[in-house]
Amino acid sequence: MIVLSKPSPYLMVALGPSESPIVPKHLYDGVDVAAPPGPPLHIGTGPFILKEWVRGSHAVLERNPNYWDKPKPYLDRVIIRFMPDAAARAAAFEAGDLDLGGSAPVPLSDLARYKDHPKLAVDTRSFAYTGAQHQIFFNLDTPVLKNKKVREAIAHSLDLDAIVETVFYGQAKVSPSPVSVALTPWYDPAVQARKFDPALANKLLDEAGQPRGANGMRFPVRLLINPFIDGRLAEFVRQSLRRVGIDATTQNLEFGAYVKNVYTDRSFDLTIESLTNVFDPTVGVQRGYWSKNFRIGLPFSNSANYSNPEVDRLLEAAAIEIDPAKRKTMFSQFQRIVHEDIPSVDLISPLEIIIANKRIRNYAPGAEGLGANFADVHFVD
Amino acid sequence: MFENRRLLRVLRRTVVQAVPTVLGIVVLNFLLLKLAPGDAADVMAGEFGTATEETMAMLRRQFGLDLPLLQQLLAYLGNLVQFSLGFSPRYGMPVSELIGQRLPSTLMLMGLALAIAVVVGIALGTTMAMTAGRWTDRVLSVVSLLFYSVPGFWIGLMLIVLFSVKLGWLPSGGQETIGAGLTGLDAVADRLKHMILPATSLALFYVAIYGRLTRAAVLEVASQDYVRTAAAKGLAPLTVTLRHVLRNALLPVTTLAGIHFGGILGGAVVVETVYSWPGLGRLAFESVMRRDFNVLLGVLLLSSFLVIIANTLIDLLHAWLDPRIEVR
Amino acid sequence: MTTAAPLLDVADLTIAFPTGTPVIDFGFTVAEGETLAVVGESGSGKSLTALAVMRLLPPAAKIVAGAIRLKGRDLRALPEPEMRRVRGREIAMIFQEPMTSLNPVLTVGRQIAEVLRLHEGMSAPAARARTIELLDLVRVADPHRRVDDFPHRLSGGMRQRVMIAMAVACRPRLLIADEPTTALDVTIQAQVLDLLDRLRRDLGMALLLITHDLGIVGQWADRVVVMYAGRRVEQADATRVLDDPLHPYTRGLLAASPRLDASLHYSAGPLREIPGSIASARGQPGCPFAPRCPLAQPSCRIRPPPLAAVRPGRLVACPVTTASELADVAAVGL
Repeated sequence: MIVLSKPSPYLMVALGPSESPIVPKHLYDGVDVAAPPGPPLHIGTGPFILKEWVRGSHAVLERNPNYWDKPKPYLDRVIIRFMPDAAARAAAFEAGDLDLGGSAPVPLSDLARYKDHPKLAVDTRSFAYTGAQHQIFFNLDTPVLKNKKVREAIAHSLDLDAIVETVFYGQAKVSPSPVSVALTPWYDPAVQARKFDPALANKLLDEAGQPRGANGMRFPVRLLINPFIDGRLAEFVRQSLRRVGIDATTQNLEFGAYVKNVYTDRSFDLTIESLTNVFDPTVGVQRGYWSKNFRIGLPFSNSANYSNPEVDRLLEAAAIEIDPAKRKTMFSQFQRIVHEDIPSVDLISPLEIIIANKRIRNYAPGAEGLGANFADVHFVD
Repeated sequence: MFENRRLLRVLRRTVVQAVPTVLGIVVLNFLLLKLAPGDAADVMAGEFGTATEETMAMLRRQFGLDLPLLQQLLAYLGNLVQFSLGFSPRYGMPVSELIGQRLPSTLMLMGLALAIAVVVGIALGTTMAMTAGRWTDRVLSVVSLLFYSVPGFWIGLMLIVLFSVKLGWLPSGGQETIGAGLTGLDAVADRLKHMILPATSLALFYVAIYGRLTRAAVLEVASQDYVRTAAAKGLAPLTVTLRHVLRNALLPVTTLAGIHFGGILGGAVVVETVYSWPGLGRLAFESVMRRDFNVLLGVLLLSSFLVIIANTLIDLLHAWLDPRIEVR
Repeated sequence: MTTAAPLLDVADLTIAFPTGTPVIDFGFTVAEGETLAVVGESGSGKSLTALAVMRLLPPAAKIVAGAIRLKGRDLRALPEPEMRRVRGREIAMIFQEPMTSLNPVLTVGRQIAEVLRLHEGMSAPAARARTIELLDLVRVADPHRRVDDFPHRLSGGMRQRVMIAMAVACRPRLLIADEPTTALDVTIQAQVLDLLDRLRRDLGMALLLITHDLGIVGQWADRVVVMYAGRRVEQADATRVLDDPLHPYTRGLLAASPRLDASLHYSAGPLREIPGSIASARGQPGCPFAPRCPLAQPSCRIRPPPLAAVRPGRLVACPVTTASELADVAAVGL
């Protein structure tokens, strides 16, 4: 029984099993869940029982004979292997050692090899529950970026279709709005990407009072990238910016340093971020644009230091609005305002890539993708 | 009797010297790691994606990251004195348990790799030296140069493609057939099968080093007067090489192998990653990434012990190989 | 002199390196049981000649001409495995540097026993027992303990004794001693040479003594071959050479050598060195010694003088000093 002080329209969606697993009361009642070592986290009500977990190697799940939804599950055993190297995963797939893999299971450049594979199928889709989204956030505390014309020019300097084709080998969709195109209930198709037009970008920059200097460059910017994103995206953006005379320098930071640089030190001008929308804009989008969420030291907060009272109002209202139609209108307004204000340039939504043995069925039945519970997964001959 | 007394003296001295060394290593590492930007709470909150300032403050309090640096250090040293390596907030388990899980497989893999490297390297180097200047020497020199210069991950992947994907002889990764429930000899054979490819990938680089080193050392020793004496006795060239040259030529190789052995616990991140091998190298690497410094300090501490042990063993081995060397 | 076939017969030996020819038409014979000294300064090619007999020349050196016969057997034509049975068993060799000629990482006992096990097929305990006997034979004190010592615990003289024990272990017919005492103290030199001489007599072997020191020849050698720049310049009985050296080089050597056996020659005057160096022989069309020779004539520089028999058993390659003697010989019709 959950008692809410305010309506929470996204809560029902948040109760999906991958986000909110059911845990046993007799183990968790009265326990401070966060205090180490914490109670055992792998006792639940799902179709499988954790038999063995060797950290860094694998986990073995055995069929739960007492599963409520008989005769499911169909599989006797699921082995989850942790394989950090994409090329090694590709080899293991080809060797027949793996049946199923998600989250970029093989290097994108290898994907073509699997198209006509006799035993393996490639399945690329967007899953609304993850709402994958890559975007550039501007640090609005950087003086030159306070000028909206400069931000607009940067938006015009980027060829989103080319990003999809070259950096992501076609395995992404252009996603120009702060709400990812993957989040189909909330994305507003009226928000379209700014046209790729370097001439216009140059003109806007000249108008913004940023003429090219002796070396052909107008001003320098520090460009960071979340290390979980393919670094070639940063290279693409860097070259696009240099083409319109913005002297961008990239710095490759590992995750800890990246988070500290952007969210604590704020020592960046542009950052290519992967602010995933999750399953609902209130959960996944609001954090990046709500002025009350500009919090030094808090990762994945409002890194732009964007502040628009109308946006704040819309986000706060949508968070407690239970009428889906009204909520959709609010989020549409939100998307249009943000698109107009340009605190971020939204780029693309990478597709979820799944490689699966052709004999496997029902591995991703719903919006959760491979995060679903596998009760329906089975092999056919 | 005399030998034993000498050995005991060496051991006692090693232990006495090890304590300040290890203490220095711990303090230095601790302070160095604290210089890294971001802490465990940053990384964890970053990975949650939707953390609040309150959760971060709570995490820092739990990990003890809110305390002054000196107090954190003293707390860590206090743990060490009680033979505890602390707790990994990230893995939710004691560091010693975490390392204990990975230590055997790492030692086995690296030990096998170094053993292969030493044996093959010395054989390769000796062959090259005995055929110096002829085509066998040249071909093997090129091969060893290849081993040396080709990156480990590439060799690893190529071995997987050849032996797992194309031929299907060996598993593509992991350290055992998961869920096969093997016991006894079958389990040992299964482990070995899983170790062959990663151990070979690791060994090739060292094979090249030991091969080149052995070649040079054998050639140098081969020009010594006592090698001519051995030939004048009527010994066959192979006997001369094995009995009179090689043992004298082994000193530089064993020195280097000792250094490499001391570094074993650092593991080999690249090969462990390519072969999905749950080794200490990957654990250490991931601990850096996650700012899980208790784990990292534990690995470093253990490594420093191993370096000290390896150096002592090498000193003793040298004393055995060359009677002119007194154990210092 | 003896008429029986010599134990070792080296004839017309020429050894070439890519860069030069250090031994040219060299030859000598060693009879059973005798001591032949080959004398010359460093660089004369005498050590190379010894190594050629053992067929242990460095890879760059090649025997381009000549014959090496052991009891009539052509060693040059012997297959390598058979040659290995000659080395250490029929011909043994000891070297100049006892400090470096023993393997530092093996006990001296093991190094001596090795040759016994190889050639005599002895078991390890038998070889060890025999090794102790041999150490005793070469007058190493306390052989039971020394047998387990590593070379670095022994003095130079002791090490040379170990080398000798190793060399005589299989009672070879011929022992080649290449500068065996050069690296040793003067007092030890005589002891080692006495030891070699005694073993030669006791074991009935011949000794090929390679040395730069004409001074030791008189007491320990039966015959002498003087070598200069790869060529034989004089050959005679030891006493003859010392009493009446004929070749100017031999005379120079003698003047430059102190003698261990007699104080007689010291009174004759201070030691004198031969002016110039052996390097001057390089590329000489004539007598190799001509550039340093006080008696050189213009004719000496045209072609190397032939080795001529001056008296029975005495060969000299110098027409200048031997002119009168040759006339005598011609007169009696040798």
